Amino acid sequence: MVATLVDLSRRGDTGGLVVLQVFAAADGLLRTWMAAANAQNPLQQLSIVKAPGEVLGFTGWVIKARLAVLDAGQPVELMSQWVANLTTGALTTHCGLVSGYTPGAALGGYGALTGGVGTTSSLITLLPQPLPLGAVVASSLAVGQEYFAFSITQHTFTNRQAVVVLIAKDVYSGQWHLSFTDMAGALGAVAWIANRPGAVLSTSIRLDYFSSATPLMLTQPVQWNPITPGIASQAPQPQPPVQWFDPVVLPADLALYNRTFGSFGYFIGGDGTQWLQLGPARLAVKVKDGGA
Amino acid sequence: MLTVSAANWTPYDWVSKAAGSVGLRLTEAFTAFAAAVNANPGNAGVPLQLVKDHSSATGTTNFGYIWRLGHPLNPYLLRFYNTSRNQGSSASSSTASFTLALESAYTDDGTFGGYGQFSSMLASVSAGMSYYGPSGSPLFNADGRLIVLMDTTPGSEFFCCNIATTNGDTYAQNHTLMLFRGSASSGWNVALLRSQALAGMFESRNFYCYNNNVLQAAVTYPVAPSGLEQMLVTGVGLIPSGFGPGQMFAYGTKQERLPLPQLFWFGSNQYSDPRRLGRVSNPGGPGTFYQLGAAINSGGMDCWVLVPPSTPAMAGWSTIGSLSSWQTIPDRLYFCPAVPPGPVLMGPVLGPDFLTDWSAVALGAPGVAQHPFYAQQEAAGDNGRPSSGVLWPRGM
Repeated sequence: MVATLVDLSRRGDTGGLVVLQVFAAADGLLRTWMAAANAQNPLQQLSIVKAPGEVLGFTGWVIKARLAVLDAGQPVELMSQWVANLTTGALTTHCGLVSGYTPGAALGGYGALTGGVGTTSSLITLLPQPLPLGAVVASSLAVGQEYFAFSITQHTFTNRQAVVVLIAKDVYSGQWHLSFTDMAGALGAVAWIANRPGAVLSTSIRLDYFSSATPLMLTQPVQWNPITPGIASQAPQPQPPVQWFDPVVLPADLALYNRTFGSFGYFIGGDGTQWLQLGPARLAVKVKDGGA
Repeated sequence: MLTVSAANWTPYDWVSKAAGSVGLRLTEAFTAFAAAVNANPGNAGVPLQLVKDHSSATGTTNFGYIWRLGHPLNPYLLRFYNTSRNQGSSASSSTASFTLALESAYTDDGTFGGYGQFSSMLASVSAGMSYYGPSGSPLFNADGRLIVLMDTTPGSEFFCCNIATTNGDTYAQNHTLMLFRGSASSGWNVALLRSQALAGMFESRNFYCYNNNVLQAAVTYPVAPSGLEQMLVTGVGLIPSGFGPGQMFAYGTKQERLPLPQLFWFGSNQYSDPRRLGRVSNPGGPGTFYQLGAAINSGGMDCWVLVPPSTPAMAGWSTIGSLSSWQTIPDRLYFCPAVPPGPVLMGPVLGPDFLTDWSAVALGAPGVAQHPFYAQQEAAGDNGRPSSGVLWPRGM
């Protein structure tokens, strides 16, 4: 299996704000992919709560995933939010449960998502001058291994790149999970672990080797590190009980490559497979199978 | 076949050579394992052999053994000696040592408590048997245990022995020694985990694996959690240094992993230190977790083992669950298994090399033409996209 790639990169010198043009194009691709993904996963349901172009002065997405899992009799619903303020450049990202979402005035109408993991920063560049934008949508509808990733880079610094949207099956549980990177490489993910039961949040990926120096290694599968209940001290009691966290795992087309935190690096493995790096968190997506 | 066996002594007189003493029971376990796995397919060239055991110790305060790690090209000896009941709590002690060296470097001259010496060594790690009171003074009457885990199943053979005191464990080193096979290496691989007791006492994690037919020091990846996450993980494997042609993890290759045996869990239990001798009913399924080694400080690594229900002990041994010294731990510990890691695609010696590794950072216009992704965009023409305003292909 390999990703279906669509290059949305723009030179940025033909007028207007190139970020908006690219986000609009990505939204179209997302809707097409989502319709197909929903059709082949009828017990789960992805939906777009807010999309680019719906709110003046802001862009981004609020995405909801309803899972085929019940909690207290109700379907579990996850949500991710990636919203840029086009006036101030403020960027708000969050992943969590839908129960933490307050629709309405916050973020110009995108609403407020709380209770999960997220970041705020002002790292998106919105200059009126021409500014190129690298942008790729990588997606797959392979059954059980579905994902949609939209990645942008405003320049090659690691603080102006993001995987704006990453909707993927947790291939361990078979349920959707949602994640993002902000424009500085901070990660966020929310998934549902059937064994607990409960939501699990993550802000990091289980990485073999942190350094960008050799040995350079493309490793699979990609697994999130769960955020475990914090231990502030040995007192007070009661403490969080012993717990087990089932893995949350990205589809087989995705890997980690520790060469660089920069977007759109390209790697050819010893088995002939070819990989494109997405965003600032070292995720890579397979774009070509090996010859052998 | 997996067996998990335990023996217990009150007190634990490790210098004793009486029948049933700790050194001789270790011999019993190791020789049973060697006899079973040497007959396995794939092990013909790598027989394990007992060279010396505790009965070879000279003097009344010595302890030791030598095991031979057979290999068709480079057999190694694993030597452990402890020549004083009071070898000091300092990691610089020379009276207690775990040593790995080529068999060809060995001289059996009766030195070092009867265990001989090596002209050169791969590893010499201070690792002693003594135990201490809270004051730092040696004690000679602690209770202790020997736990032996072994799997003789072809392809996933491992032998693990764990020695710890069961009272006052906070003040004793407990150590866990592991021999294991993996299809990625050509011989027996070795792990030694030493858990610190007194501050300043021996504490480390040492790993060695056959790489290009030579035993070599290795590190573990992914790095096991060592912070306050109170997290234990599986899926940790070895990667030796040196990535040249013919070595494991050579640059540009596809390399199978060399995982530590999957029964073992590694991570952190620091905040709750000194919780030791822990036992946890598996919160995620059948079986029981037992703590073999404890991480005492930053960078330390807990070692736990998940024992399946009804795992038998060797004949004549107790089951691990029958030891009365386990402390049931109800809280502040999280088990986070890994899915089995896949093979690694190794990158180039240096990146970018413009043959297998391109970075957008390093491109420039000439680089664009060589970047596989952008070059495809160029070759495809406008690809149905607007003829102006798109970044790739650009008019060059």
